[in-house]
Amino acid sequence: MSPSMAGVAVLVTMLVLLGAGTPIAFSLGFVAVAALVLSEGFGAIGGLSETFFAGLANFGMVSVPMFILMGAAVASSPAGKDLYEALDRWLYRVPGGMVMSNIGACGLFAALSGSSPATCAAIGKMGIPEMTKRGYPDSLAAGSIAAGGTLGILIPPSVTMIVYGISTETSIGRLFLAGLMPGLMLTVLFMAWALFDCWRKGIALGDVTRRYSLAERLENLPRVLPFLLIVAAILFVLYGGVATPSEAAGTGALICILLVAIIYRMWRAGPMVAIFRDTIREAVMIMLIIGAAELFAFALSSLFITQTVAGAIADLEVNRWVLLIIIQIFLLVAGFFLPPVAIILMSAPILMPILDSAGFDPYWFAVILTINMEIGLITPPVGLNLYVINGIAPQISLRDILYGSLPFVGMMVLGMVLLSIFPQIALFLPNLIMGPAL
Amino acid sequence: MSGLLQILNGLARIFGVLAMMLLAAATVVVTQMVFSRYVLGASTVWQTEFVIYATTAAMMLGSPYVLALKGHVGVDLLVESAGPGLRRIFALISGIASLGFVGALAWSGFVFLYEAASRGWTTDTIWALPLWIPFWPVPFAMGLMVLQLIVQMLMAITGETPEGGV
Repeated sequence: MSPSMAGVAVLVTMLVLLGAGTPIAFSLGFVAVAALVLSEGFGAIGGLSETFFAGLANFGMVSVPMFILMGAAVASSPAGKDLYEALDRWLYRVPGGMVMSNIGACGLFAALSGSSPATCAAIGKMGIPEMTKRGYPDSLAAGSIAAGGTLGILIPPSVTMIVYGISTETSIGRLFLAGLMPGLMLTVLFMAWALFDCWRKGIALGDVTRRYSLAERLENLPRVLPFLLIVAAILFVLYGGVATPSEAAGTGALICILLVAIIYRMWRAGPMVAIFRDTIREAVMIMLIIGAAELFAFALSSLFITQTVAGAIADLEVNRWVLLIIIQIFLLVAGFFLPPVAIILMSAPILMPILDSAGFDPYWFAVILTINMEIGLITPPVGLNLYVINGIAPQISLRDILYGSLPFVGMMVLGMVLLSIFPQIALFLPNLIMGPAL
Repeated sequence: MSGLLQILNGLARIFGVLAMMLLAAATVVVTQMVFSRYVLGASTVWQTEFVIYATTAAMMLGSPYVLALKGHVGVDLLVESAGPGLRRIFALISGIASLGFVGALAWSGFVFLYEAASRGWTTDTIWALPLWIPFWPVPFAMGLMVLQLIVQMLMAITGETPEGGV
């Protein structure tokens, strides 16, 4: 079979398997096994488990479950409530402070917990009723939380970025740094849209319904600041090259577990088991996809599919920006159906050589890709955030949630355009702190 | 059939508890390693390997548990909207593909485990741990998943629902 025929066969098989509801990891693994058997005979299965095991058993991989554990500890605690209250108490006098504390709390909590749905649930449970009570429209209240929750996969530490780093062999510290400024930019864009929407609908932003004393404003800080310090410390040791991502993640996870045990009195077995159960559930799902995707990438390249596709696209000699837009549309469509991590793992082996020959920076591309993946989290049919918000705020119709989220999709696209015009938004910080990439 | 699945899922839960304990141990050891290396300036010997193997073992042993929780994500859009007949066909396709991958891993895993144990292979590091110790979770976890997948697939085809539910 020619490489291009094999490529079509792989694509069709993947679509059929995924369509039939086969778990992503097993679909990738099956295609890899089938490809190996067809090209090398059944003998190829002999070394399968060893290759699979060797792919997962290395120190870099440890960072994935460890960062998930750290996030699960934070997500299971009431830290989200404290974070939200702390911001609200400091920002209540600022016009539109309510919107800003909602989106800001989403950004911070999403960074800490690393989970978009957990963020929507934690911040939305308080934020949405509070916003509707103060006269903000339902759609804006729901949309700002849905969009705010997506920030976590961009703002460091982000498991999505780690997976990108693993599958493209790029520096995780540098990826984290590259995501920081664009993450802040998106936060500001989200806030700007929310404020504009309020102004457009004639909502009085300056009304202060209640005041907070200094003591009230300081009350939540001792519970919130330690978590923010951990994130700062992790970023510091990573960028300083002091410790590896896995070391920073493991230590950060243990400290976060101790913090929630002490601050929120969660030291009993019940909450602890829940933290580890949630971690195993999420981490195993991702790690199995990573392991299967490595076999998949190996099979694709042994059938020369990767090389053929990359070569064919290079021969097209299309404008690099046209190429980028085609790739983004393709990824966007994939994002409507598949989780970000799976898309990155499946597409990276094919995309990396193409992007490289078109002269795109892999760190800059990581940021663009991640923002694109954020869109999939708040668009149907599988936009997880929409359903989480539907679950915690059943009084708001799914239509309103979707309607409220769409303008934020526009902001994400605007963010991608800005990043394409000014790539320095992503690359300035890593170049400044870590020196130019080699 | 549903009773059989309950037994298998119970076994998967035991694997899951083991996975949680291994992950907890890895977290403690990685912190101890960071502390002794960066604070005390001491060198560490076995910790890195322990953390790698404990974490990998946790991920392997966790797989049947996550399967029991239906946590291995897929696209269920078409399945949700399909009628009962088409659903059985989907279950058959998905079951066979899953078994193809997990079964191949389990089989090659048992072969490799036997070789590693009988020939006394060790990890190629200073610790020189016998290779079967970190590797055994691969065949056993994949083997358990094979059984779970077979029962799940048969139940989906015969239309039997687990635990007398909906």
